[in-house]
Amino acid sequence: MLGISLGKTATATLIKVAIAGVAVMGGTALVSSSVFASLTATATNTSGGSVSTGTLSLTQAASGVAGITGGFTTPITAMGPGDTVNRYINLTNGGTLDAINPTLAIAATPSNALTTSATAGIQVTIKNCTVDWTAAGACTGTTTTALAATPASSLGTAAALTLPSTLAGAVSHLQISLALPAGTENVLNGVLPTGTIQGLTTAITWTFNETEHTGTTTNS
Amino acid sequence: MFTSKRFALLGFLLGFIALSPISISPALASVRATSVSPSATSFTTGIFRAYATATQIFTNPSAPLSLSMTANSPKVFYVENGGTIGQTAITMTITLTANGVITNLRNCPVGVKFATTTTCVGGVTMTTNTPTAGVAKVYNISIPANSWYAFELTETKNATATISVSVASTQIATFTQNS
Repeated sequence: MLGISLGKTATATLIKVAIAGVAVMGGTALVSSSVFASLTATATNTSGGSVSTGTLSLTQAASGVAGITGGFTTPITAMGPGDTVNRYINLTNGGTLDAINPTLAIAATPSNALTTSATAGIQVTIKNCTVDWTAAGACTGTTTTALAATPASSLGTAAALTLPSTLAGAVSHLQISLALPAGTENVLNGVLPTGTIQGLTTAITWTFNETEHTGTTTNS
Repeated sequence: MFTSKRFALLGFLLGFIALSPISISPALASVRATSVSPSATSFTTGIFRAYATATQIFTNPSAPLSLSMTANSPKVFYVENGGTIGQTAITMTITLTANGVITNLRNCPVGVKFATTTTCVGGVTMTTNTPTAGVAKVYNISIPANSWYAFELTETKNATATISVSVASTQIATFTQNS
């Protein structure tokens, strides 16, 4: 015995709840059963439907043109205000997927005026040529600007690059110009001014990034 | 108080939830590719500095040169590039005590000393300048790093000459290099 006494009305109500719940579960079960039943009629493709994923790969290499193979690994020395050194890098999207949103960021150690001063520090400009740059720094194809003159001080955060193509297999022939602004320093009797840009050294690491192209839906 | 209708609705909802299929939305992931330079690019700036010295010694005095002058007696001094960057010009100011007046300031070509008061070693041509005491004057002379010029000063009084030399960032040799 339950030991709980229910009135007539309450008993009737509980019975209705039970009936409603059972009705829903039963009805759904009937629907589900009909779905399961339809799965028993199977159609299978006769040949294997192959599904494979693509790859996204970004690599950089110094130009192979004789005379401009310095790349990022050869030191730059004795730069002065007004000087420019151009280095040549081939950036390759070597995967099978198209890419979008190429960017460049740098990291410098130690941090000093070369990479913290927006006015006296290093300025980076990047141009792209549709073919290899010549040893004299000329482009015999079409030149476009990938990155307008930008202070190294603002490249700690990735900056967007404008490249003509980031399709799978595309190679960007980049001329990376490192320049020091002409400046206004004056050295009197051999004494360097306070906060001078002279006699400094830093080491710059270059990081390029790209993102997989936007997902597409194909009907085929 | 629960009515029979509310109990019926509750039962319906419980049954519906119990049998509803669970749906999980696929996560949206973006694939990125990164390429980092194989090593860091070492970047070093040079130094441009020039100064006047009494002897050709390449020691930075970090101060102007002070010369004890005898009236109308030529005295030699040197302007040296003690930095690592070549210069295309310098600015020099010669001040004199005792109201002295500069009558002559000659110089030989880069790296050539005076043989006599009026000739350079090897007979090469001298350059004659006409500065005014106390007034800064620009000398358009090319001085590679670790090079020097010999100057010869003549003035009218027994006096002290103070010679200051400066180099501005607009007076250095610049380059564009493809490498």
